[in-house]
Amino acid sequence: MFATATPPAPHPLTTALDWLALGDHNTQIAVLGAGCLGAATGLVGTFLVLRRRALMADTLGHSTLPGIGLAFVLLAAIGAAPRSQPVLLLGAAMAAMLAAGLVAIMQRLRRVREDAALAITLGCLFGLGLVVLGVIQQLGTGNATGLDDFLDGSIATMRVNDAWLMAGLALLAASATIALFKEFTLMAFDPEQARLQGLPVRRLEAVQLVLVVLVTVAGLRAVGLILIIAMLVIPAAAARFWSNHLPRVAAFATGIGALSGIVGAWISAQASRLPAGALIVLVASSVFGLSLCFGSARGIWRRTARSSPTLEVI
Amino acid sequence: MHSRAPSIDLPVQPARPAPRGNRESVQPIVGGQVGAAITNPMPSDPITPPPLRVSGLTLAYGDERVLDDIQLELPTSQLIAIVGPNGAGKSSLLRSVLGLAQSQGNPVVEFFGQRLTEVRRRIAFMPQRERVDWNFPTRVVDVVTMGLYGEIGWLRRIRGHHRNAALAALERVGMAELATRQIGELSGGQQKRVFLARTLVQGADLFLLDEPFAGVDARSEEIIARELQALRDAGSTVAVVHHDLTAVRRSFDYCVLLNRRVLAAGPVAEVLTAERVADAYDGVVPLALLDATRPETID
Repeated sequence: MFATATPPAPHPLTTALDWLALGDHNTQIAVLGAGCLGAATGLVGTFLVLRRRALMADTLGHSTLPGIGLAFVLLAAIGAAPRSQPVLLLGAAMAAMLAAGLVAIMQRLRRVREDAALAITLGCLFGLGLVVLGVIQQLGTGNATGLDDFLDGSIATMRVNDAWLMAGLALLAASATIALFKEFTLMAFDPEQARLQGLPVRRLEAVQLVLVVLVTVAGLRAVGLILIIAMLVIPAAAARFWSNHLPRVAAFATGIGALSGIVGAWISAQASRLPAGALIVLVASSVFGLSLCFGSARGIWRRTARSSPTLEVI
Repeated sequence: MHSRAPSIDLPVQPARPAPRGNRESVQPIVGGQVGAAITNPMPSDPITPPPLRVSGLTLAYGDERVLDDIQLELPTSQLIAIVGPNGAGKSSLLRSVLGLAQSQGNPVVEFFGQRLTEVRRRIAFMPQRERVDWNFPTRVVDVVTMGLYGEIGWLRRIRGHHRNAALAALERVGMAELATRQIGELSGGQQKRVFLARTLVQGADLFLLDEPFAGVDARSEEIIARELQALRDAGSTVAVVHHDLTAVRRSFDYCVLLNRRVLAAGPVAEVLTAERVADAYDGVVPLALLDATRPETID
């Protein structure tokens, strides 16, 4: 049932969106884009959660802010349209990669624990971002209000090109994850074995990080940098309750993410005052709640109560 | 202590208080000059290089040397036990030759005469305790299939014959009925057998197993022992870190006695003499181990 919500084919879906009385082409594409984004966050997030690196996504998300701010200032300074989406997202991606680099350096030095390194990096870069936003506001360089949308997301103000960019980045990250599914699985389950089989574990970890940055940046406009971590974690965590088989878990996470993106964005398009990111995440959270209770593999109230496996006496 | 004395054969008794300094004289290091050395009594064919050759391997954690200048050559197609007291560096030896622990200096570590990176496919390793997340969403058959991921290669899908190979390996360890169980639903012995199956499916020429018998039930122990012998009979070299000297005596061909250094390496009967064992275990040999060594010390 969730799987039918997976995005790819645009034609039937657009028809479906017409049926949902989303006459406005802008909104249609935005809702569709949010679906793609949700699917990608679900898929990429599955491996992030399995490797217990969810907090990394929070740090990366928050760290994009100074990148967005500085890109905005740069655009304004050279007299270009200051809200050129690709440039702002490029700035965001560079800031996120800087954050990942800082965390890696701190870990390499072995002086700070990972959680502390993540928190320090988050605080440092998000703080810097807030200062840059404040400066932009004071300078009054044109209309800076659009930048708020990157904090908590907005569907209603999204342009068609923004939505296509979001969908494109999301699908790119999702395709890469599917291509490396086998390698990511082994790396998540048993990194030592991955190394013994000759997989370049370090490089694969870096690729995974880049994919997280990609979906984070893709989701900035619709979900916002504060709540993007929730879209990486919640669909993946919810999917885990439905199966013990990773490919199926990943498919469920993709579906739950896509469903949350579409439903949340649709509600947001109807009620433009409400923050889109929050709505999308709340839909995902509802699915998580249901999964926690009724999930067929690990839910609290499993319907198919399997007899517990008989264990051999050691 | 005293009550035990009458039951102990004479040759064993004087070995216990053996002075520590004595150890050097008993040490038949491969390639060394030591007197009664059993220096590599099964010399490998000069044309085919040994499955594993180590020279000058030293590993230290902080100031403490866990492995000190290891010299070792494993013979081909043998069931090899690596024994020694706790903290002798048995696991560290396996992990450092596989590059999972960083050793000091520039030791020689050759597998089949080549560097590890060139012969990865020919080597399979089973760690002591899998450091994996037992709640991971993966089934028994998937875990075994993971042994083939390196071989399957980039961008290629897992196919039916890979699954069948995994199921066949599970069959060998008596776990085929539980193939679709989530990995955390198994007992300790069953988990060991699954990871043994993952090692088997790799079809390697050299198997390195770290304590495959630790904490397993009798049935698992029997199955694991049988499969290791089958591998040896099929021509593979199998090196196993082992605690139970009785079992080593019973079913192993070759033994490496380790206590930070290789104290002896050779056929089991020649290595596991009461003196050597007592010496390796710092004179503190559990009764069970003495029992195991006794019958052979008579001749």
